[in-house]
Amino acid sequence: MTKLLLLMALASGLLFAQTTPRLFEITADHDSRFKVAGRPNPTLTLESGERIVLRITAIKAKSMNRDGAIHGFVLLDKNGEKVPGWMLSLQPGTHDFDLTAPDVPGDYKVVCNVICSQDHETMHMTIKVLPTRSALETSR
Amino acid sequence: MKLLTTLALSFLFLTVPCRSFAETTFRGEIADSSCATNVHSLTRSHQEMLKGKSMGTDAKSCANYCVHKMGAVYMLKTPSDAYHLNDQKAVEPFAGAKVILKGTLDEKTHTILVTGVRSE
Repeated sequence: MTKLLLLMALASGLLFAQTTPRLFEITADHDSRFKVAGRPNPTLTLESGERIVLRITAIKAKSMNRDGAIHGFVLLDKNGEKVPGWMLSLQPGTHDFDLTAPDVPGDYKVVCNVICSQDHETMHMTIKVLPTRSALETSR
Repeated sequence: MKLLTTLALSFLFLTVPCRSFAETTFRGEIADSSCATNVHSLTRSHQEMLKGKSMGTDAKSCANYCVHKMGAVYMLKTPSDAYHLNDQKAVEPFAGAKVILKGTLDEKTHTILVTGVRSE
């Protein structure tokens, strides 16, 4: 009985480890730059279809939207099409967003769609989506 | 008294949903959401972005640039408000133009369900 309980606990622990999404912390800063650990224009690397949590801290630059949004976070594919579910409106402060990485591997561009300052146009970062490990193993 | 109450309740049930979904005519500009929803947009519209030149030279090129390159969507900007539009393809040819747009307003999402659009 004890062994069975131990096995169940182990299995649930493994399950939890597999399903807990990775957390990425990003700052949408007052100088109209996305930053990770203080570095501007960063790149995040994800697996296709991976569930993640983006913890974004938004700090006001110069201007804002009438609904209070001070920055935006929109993911575009290589054709410039918006990726469904990745159009985030950033209100001041820190907020968590549960997201799923696109299924198609490749380089995606993140842009800000709030005119936050005169540097708004250059506020971007990259999300690199890699094939899943299982997809890679299958293709070998 | 009972009759009055019944009449009043019937009136409420019949009129409230109709008011939300009645077709309305809107007048305004097909703008991009970045310019249309900014705090400066009611008075200055695209002016700030056009100063930079890279985003276009007029309302049309600015709106198209922001939608296709900067993650914006088309919206209807009126002198006092900005509305989301459910049919982006229908309004794209009118980017930057003043239009007369028909549709029903979903007040909850502040979105117009577009039934028709033409240049003003």
